[in-house]
Amino acid sequence: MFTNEKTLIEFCAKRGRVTIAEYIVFAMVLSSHLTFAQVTDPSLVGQWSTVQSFPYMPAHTHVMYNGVVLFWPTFDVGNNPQLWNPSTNGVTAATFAPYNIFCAGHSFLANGKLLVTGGQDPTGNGLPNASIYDPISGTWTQLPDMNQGRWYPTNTTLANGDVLVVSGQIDPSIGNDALPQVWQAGSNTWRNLTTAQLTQPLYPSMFLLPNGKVFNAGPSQTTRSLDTTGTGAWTFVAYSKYGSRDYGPAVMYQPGKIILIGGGGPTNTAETIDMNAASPAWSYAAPMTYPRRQANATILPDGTIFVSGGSSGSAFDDETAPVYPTELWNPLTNTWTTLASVAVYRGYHSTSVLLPDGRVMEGGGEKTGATYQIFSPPYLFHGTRPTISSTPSGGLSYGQTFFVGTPSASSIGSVTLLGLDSTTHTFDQNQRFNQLAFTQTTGGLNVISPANANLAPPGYYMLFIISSTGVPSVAAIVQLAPGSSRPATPSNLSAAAASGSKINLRWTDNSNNESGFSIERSVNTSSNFTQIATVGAGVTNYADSGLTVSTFYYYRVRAFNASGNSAYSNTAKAKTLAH
Amino acid sequence: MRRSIANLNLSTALAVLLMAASHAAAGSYNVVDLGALPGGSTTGRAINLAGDIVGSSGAPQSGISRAFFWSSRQGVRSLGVLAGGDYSDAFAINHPGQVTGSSNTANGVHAFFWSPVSGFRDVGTLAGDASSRGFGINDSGQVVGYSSGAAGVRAFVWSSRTGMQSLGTLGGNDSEAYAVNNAGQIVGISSASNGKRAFLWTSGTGMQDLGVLAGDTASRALSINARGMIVGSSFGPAGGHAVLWNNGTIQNLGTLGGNFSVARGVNNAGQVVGESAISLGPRAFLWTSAQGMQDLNSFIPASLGIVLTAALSINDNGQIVAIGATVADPAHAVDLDDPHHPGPTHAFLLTPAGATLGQR
Repeated sequence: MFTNEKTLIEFCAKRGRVTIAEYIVFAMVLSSHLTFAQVTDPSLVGQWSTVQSFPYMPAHTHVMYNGVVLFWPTFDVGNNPQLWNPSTNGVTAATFAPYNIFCAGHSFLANGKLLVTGGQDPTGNGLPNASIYDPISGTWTQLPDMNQGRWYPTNTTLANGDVLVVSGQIDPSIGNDALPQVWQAGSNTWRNLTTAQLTQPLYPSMFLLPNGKVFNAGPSQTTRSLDTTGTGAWTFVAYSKYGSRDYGPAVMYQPGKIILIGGGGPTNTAETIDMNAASPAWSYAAPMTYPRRQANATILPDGTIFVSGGSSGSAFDDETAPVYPTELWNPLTNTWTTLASVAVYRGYHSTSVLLPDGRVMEGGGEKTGATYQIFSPPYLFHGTRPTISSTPSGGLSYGQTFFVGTPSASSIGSVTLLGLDSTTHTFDQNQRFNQLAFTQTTGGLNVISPANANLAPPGYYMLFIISSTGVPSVAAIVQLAPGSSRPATPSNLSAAAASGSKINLRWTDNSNNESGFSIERSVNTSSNFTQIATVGAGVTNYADSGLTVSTFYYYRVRAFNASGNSAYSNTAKAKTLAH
Repeated sequence: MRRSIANLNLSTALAVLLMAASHAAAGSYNVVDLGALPGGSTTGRAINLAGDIVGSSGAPQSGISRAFFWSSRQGVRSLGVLAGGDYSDAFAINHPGQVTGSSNTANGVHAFFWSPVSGFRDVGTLAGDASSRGFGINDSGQVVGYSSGAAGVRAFVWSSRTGMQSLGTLGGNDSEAYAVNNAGQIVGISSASNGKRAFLWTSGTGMQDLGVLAGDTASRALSINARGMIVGSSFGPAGGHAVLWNNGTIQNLGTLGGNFSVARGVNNAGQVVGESAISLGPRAFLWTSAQGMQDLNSFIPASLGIVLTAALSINDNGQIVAIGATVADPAHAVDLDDPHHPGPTHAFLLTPAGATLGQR
């Protein structure tokens, strides 16, 4: 066996002379071997855990803001929701839903609860029911019924926290529900988009766009956008290239930019559209190496898209042609990289979700059953992970600069905000990616939240800081608050010793709606802050007295009002004088 | 001329005749798989006296659905879509072979009327509305369905001569009409102050609430025959039950054993078809006043490898259009616990064995 180029050189030296043909054959053998070596190196291709078992198949899977994963299985046992804690690997039964939630739609609300729409009645037809699951109390609350039954509907959480629900089959006599409805969170009522009736395929791929409209990217080749205001209106956008891509994932990889992956025939093609363009049009992206249908696509913290599972066979759920290798799409380079292979076929009714720790859980599938594997992407083998030591305790408003504490500030190359996954049938109804602007500051980063709720609807998100070498932190869960009127974050905090017992603080007031500022202090360390005082609105200085001589004091401030607190300012420190 | 099943031309590549000759029981059926348009899935919804069938075929989970017309001579053929559209469904066919359904346009969905003479025609909407769907048609060519716009969703009746008129509601914000008989009686569903209710509309009385079974909270009517017999479902905390409204009374048609059944079609003999859930999933049923509810699967040989999950329509010859799955389908290794999900749906024509069929 030849393990490296040195081996080739040694071989040539021993032979004294080789022909070109010998060299080419030799190089091919060596290349083949190197390829094999890459497959096993987790820093290049990642690493899957062993196959483990769940009590039920994860066919509908949701990462909740408390870090617990809610999932439920299929068909007549569909109403067996389970709670999996990735930290402990423990699984417990969740409270039964009021009806069978198999084949429902789902997305998260501004308060972190899960809105579940439709389901399956005992004859396999759509249910008109809707319910909310509370991750904290573990209870279901039933809502007013929708207009008709919906089996395979799609939820889309809108910028104001309401939720659009489209499609779903009523029954074989009436076909699919053509009426889009908006669940209005404030009034717990349904608003019917009666001027936007359209027969959509089941589980259509719907995305909230930066302009506030909702885009139907597939699986139909005819793509349209929906204005959800008033009674609604559709607008034709463009025809996608390949044709129908049933059971091929669609992902909005950046705001307004969508990729369709595989599906259909199956195909290895992918295509993208930029809905931010003046005249959006579909164009082919680089193809995957492997055709696949029934695959899952998961946005990773760095904005790449991880595609796993699926079948290259022609049958609907073809376990005779499983695609074991996984692939990663880089939207910046439009390239695919083959990563480590799954151990078992993941097809129809399999799901995958990004965990807050940066790993991916993939499990289920009718042909494989109630098992799962966890994938550790290559970035988890690239050295020390940055850590997040603090994030704002309250919700963030839009366009807000907020402080993220980290001892790794100087090494951070990017900050990203990802939606909590809520996925089924190859489509994640809550997946979302935002890259956030940031600057380094003392003890952390000043990060700017998304400019508006079209980019990231109100709710809970995974906040990752990523090193300049591409290693992500474990996510901090942050909330973008609906209609938040929290004050803006103060900045430019400075601390200067005035004596052995007194330090003067000054900061910049960036808010026009604060009730005041709270001042926090710690001694000899930049952690374990406690509040020492509050001052009124518009005040931008404070004298901290009664201190100990020759001691380091650390400070931070934040503004507050009735809606809550701003993020913290930068941290400032000063040492009291010796006398 | 009378025509028997033995005279049907079965040479079409898409129609596969699966003879039930080995099944000697009275009431057994000859079974024809209607075949499919590209995409492989077919839902047959309505059958007329000639045995012509309409419905939808394609790959509906992919967004590919075309209204189809099936005849024994020509098999499944697409009726197409309206201009700019990408998705169509056929829901009803009358004695002359006229069809109604709905088709997407570029930015909405519209009811259509199709006939062998006029072809595909957009029925339009109520004045000022944006969209519509057609679900029922009688032998006069009257189409019923709903029209939807800023004012809400309204059941309508349409004819080429009079255009479209609203049927109103039971007092709520929306109504949908699903069937019309030759007397112009129309049934469907409407919201009312007390929930969703099946309705009967006549030109003389307007829209009337058909009520629910005792203890139930909602109902829906899907079909009406020439005698005014109406079938549908009544829903409540205990599940849903197939019901028959006849002469002002509501009758629970029961189930095949579970707590859920739906009635979808009724012919002039009062035979009712639909589906009912059993422990193995949904099963197509035939209900008669004499025999009650019976599993249609018991009238076809198990050797056919077919599971009938729902029966949607029955004509006066007793021919039934049903949907289900074939166990041997290479594209769907069907689990008998789950026959219609997720793979291709098959539509079947069930003709009573030895029947002498009346002509159109």
